Amino acid sequence: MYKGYEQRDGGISVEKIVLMQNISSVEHFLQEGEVPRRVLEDISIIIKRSEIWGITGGSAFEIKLMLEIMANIRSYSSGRCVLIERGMPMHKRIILSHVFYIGGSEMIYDNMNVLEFLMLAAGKLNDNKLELQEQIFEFIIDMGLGKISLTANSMLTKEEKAVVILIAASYSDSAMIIFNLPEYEFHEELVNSIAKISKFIRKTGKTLIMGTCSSLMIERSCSHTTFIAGGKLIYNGTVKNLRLNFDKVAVIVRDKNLRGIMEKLAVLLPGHKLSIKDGRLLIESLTEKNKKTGYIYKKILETGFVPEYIETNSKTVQNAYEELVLQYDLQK
Amino acid sequence: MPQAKYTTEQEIEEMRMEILREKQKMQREHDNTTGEKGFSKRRLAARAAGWTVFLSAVILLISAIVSINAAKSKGQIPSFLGIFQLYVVESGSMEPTFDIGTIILCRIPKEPQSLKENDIVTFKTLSGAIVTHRIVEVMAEEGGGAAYRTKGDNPQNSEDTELLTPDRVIAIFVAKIPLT
Repeated sequence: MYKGYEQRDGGISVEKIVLMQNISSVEHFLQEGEVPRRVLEDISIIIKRSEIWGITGGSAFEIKLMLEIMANIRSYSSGRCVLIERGMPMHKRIILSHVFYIGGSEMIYDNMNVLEFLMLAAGKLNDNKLELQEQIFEFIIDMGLGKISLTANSMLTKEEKAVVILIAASYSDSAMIIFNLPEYEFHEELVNSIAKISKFIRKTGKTLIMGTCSSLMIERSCSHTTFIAGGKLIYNGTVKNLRLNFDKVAVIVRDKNLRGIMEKLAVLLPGHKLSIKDGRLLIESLTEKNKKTGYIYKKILETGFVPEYIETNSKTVQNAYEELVLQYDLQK
Repeated sequence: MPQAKYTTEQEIEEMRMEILREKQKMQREHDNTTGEKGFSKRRLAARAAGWTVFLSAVILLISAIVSINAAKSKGQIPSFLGIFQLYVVESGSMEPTFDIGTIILCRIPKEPQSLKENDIVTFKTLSGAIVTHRIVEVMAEEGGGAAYRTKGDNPQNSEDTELLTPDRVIAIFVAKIPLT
């Protein structure tokens, strides 16, 4: 589909893109009356080729710092960090050709339009400039960004600029792309575009590591995710596993009389956890045996109520993380 | 008037058309370049053929000059390629057709007995002189042979007294070498 592109990684097939072992940051959080703690502590993660990672957490600062260490921008206090099996230079702020770092949207040229900028960024890939122009133009449209394809960069929002830079990164020869913008708020349309670009990046054998506070972004774009809480990683694995293991809500009920339904169901559904949240009755199965939603539907009808709305929970990243954080707080 | 932020469908289509036009233009240029290449090949072949002809002519001329000089030095009739001979007109008997000093190219005849009226022939007289005159009459001899009455083109000349027999015919006139 997008011919003219080839993965160039010095001809070396590298599987481990990032290896972080027991990394602790130099930076500390200082709060009055409390013992200072390191912003990041004992961080261990392995990121492999062609994986799309969403690094998230309660603090944008923690996320940003972790990705800055990964990109060789910040020093770390202890531990070991290896990028693309080439080690990490002692001197920081050295630009690594195998890492495309996106830490802001200022790197885009405002005196060009989107297509012109991407042509400039990807110019060395193809000698036939006309073919490349057509390829990039159609790529922008396929990614759902047709409406900004010929827009002047100066008129774009910082989020739109960031997505344009991500396209430039996807056309680069860097094996690893770090999209470190957890403070940015991407609307759903842009999230969908990022999801499509992520697919393309994955297909080309590159690795994308995104710092984000958006659960939707992780759900739509990422194959793997990790959650930082209190400077530590409390989850590290695939998005699918996260959703299946931590979003335990089986059925959601909406009605004016949620309290009445809950009281009746408490009797009819032993082995289930019932809770009301944001005007919704959430029904969780506490045992493997009771996980069948058909059984829960039957019991709801047995209450004698006909709820306005019943749905099978589609297991979202947002719910999974809420549960994860809850469990972490309880452990503490 | 402030510029609209978003790219419209029309602008997208216009860009697609522009890319298509440029591609077609490039294709045409490519085709022209390929055509020009073919044309240059033909031109190259023609030039090579020209050079071959020119060099052949030069070689022929040099070999002719060499053979003429060699024949002259031996007192023989200069010839080249075995069938052509060159003569220098030394008298005014054929004026105005040939001025004195004109070089003429002649060919050894395949059938000297079948010459026609108006042919210019070079022959040996009975006294052994070499003369170039025109046949003015073809005469049949007894026994089926032919004899020719000859005459110089100069109006002051009368017909030659001796009849020319085919065995004394040396060559038939082919062409006058220009500028001689």
